[in-house]
Amino acid sequence: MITDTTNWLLEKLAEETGVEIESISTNQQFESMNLDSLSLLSLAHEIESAFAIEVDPTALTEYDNVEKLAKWIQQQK
Amino acid sequence: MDSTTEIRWNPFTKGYHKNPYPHLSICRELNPIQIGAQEAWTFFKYEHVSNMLRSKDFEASNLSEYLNDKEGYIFKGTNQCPHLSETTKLWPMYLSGELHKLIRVGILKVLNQLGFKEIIIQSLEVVNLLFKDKKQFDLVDYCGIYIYEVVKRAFDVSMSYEELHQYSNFTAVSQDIFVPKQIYQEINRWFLWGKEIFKKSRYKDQLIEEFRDQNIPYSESDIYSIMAVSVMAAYETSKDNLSIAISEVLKNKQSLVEYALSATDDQQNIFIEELFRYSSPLQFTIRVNKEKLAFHDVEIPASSKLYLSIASANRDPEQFANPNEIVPDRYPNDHLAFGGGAHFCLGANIARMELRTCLKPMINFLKDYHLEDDSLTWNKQVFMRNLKSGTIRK
Repeated sequence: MITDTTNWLLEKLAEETGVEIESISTNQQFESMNLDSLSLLSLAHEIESAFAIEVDPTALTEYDNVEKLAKWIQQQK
Repeated sequence: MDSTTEIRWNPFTKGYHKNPYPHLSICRELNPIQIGAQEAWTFFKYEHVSNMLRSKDFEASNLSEYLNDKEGYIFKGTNQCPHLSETTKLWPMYLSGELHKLIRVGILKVLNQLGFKEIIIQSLEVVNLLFKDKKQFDLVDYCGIYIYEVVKRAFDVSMSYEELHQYSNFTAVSQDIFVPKQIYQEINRWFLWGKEIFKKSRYKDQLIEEFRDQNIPYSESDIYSIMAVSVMAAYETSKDNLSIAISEVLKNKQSLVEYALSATDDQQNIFIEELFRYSSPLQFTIRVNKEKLAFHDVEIPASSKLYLSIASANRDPEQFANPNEIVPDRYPNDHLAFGGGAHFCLGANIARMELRTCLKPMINFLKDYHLEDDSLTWNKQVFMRNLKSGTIRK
């Protein structure tokens, strides 16, 4: 379910950035969230484990917000 | 922007870990100086890589400082005691200036006292005896156990082959790029585990003695830092080089196996240098430029991070004719597999001694076996290329 994936991503981003989940919008670019390359890599690693898919870390540059990334994850499953 | 500038180095290109060379070749030909992964300037041509390795205008990049900066994030919400920065603090490949010289000379002096020649001969006997009657085995284990026997005896450490294999691999991965925090946490666990293993060691005692003789102030952590890098460098790169080199020789049974078995000592020494060039387990190294750099239309500000592709340089056709072939009598062969300049690999002579001792006996032992090409698997490492497994069958 795309909603589950979206919620999961929002939760992880809130953990990574330390901001309230409600303040993150699904079309907000990762770049504007104060996430450095190590945070993005760690998020990619967590997506691999949680969804059992292979994630090229550069995917988070291409699918650069929650909406796009959630769609992409669904397509990979 | 024209088409050539769009060529970007991406180690996640399909098939890269199995064979990075086609992608490196495209980068070298079409965009040899580029802003690549993680905003680092990346160089692919032999001329550039060789000059930068050998020039005094460049310094090593400081891994320990980078890890120190990131430890707060990596260990947030865990109960682990951070030890990444501390363990990597005195790794000579990341040091510059006087401290680098002092540590390098100290390690080299102690390494020269360890009696590697005898140890290497003993280790080869052990491994060939161990695998003597096996119909099928893994090439990486065969090479790994040989180097494990060398490391265990030389550094006087008590750990199993499997433990060393993992410890060394995680230690090596700490230097890679694209490492997520979860893997850093695992590396940290291995670093802490290793502290116990090195408590009693002749190598450790000799290091301490050398530091005292030279009046170099040291702490327990400093000594552990040097022991960790010594063991990793001695095991990981030798095992990787040997396993990649032997797999290539076995793939070319008609020509290379026969050549290896009939070579004189001089011919073998030349052949071994070619195997180092071709295998290049250390695929990249990092430098920082002290001054601003200018290459034709490219300007690079001072203190930029520079990735130097040793792997690409070693396959540059402007330096090596037929670079993608193993030419056993290639001479001269000014390859960069051991780096160059002030940071030239401290263990190069040991690696040469290992290969000179084992190549003929190992190939002689393996000549009746078949390497299943499809069975070769590769770890997903970028800076240090790493054969994971390969089945050998009679």
